[in-house]
Amino acid sequence: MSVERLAGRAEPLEVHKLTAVHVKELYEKHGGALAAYACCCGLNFASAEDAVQQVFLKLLRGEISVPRAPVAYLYRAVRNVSFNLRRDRKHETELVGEDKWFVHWQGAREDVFALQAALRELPDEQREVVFLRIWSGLTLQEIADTTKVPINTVASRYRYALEKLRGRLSPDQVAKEQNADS
Amino acid sequence: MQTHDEEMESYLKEFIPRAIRPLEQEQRSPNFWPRRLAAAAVIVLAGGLCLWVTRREAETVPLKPLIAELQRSIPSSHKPLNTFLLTKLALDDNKRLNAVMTEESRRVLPSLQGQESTLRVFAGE
Repeated sequence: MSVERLAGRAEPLEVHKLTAVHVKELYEKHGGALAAYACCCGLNFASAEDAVQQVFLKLLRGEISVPRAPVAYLYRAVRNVSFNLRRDRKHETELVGEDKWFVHWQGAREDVFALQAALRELPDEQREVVFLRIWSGLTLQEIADTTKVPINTVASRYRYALEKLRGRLSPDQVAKEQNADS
Repeated sequence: MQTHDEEMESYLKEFIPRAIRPLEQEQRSPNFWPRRLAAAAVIVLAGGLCLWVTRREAETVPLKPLIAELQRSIPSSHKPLNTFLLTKLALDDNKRLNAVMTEESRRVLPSLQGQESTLRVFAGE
């Protein structure tokens, strides 16, 4: 069974343990997005990597069972580990503002920092929906199924999040990018 | 509205999450268990050897002479002679008094019986 299949149809009540191959596939496909999500929770990139590794190592060791569609579960797990790590490492120097968790295909460094700041300001539930939709490729219906939230709520969270991001990320620039593409 | 959302979506998709380091699996070296087994075997062998040596020494050294030697080395409890009885004995039976005193002196005074006794050595000098 492929990761896409696992990430797709939701069978929320059914839990199982992933094989090492599935865990590695999930890590390769979603690891970067999960690390970026952990950065949104206040970690620097190195600590965010640690948080993601912790979750996936537990999966590899078979210490935790996951739902059939595990992606949303992974975001929740990474968020919890991130808050724990942030608490444990609060004495460390905060370098969150200087880290890059995204890269832009045109290398627009300022845009990256603007996006990161905007994402960090979103409420948790809106940020989760944006990450699941944009960088993990789930449909709104899949997000609703896996997070056990009504589809209308998910859709409105997503819409509000996009509005806020549009407000923060200079809409003119976004439109200009779109026109340049077309 | 829908168009705005799609534009924003495609703009956001231009950003790619930064790659993270590969999953670090905890891999034990292939000779992890043989090493543990070898260490356990060495510990068991050393323990067994100690036990065997201890038991063997206990078997080879005879215990009875040791105990006898020990008993000899411990001074016997000395009961002081009854002065009244000794006086009476001196008056009534002088020979018996001599015998009692001789016996008592053997018990109380250092013996000259042993080949290496201190008194014999001094006497020799």
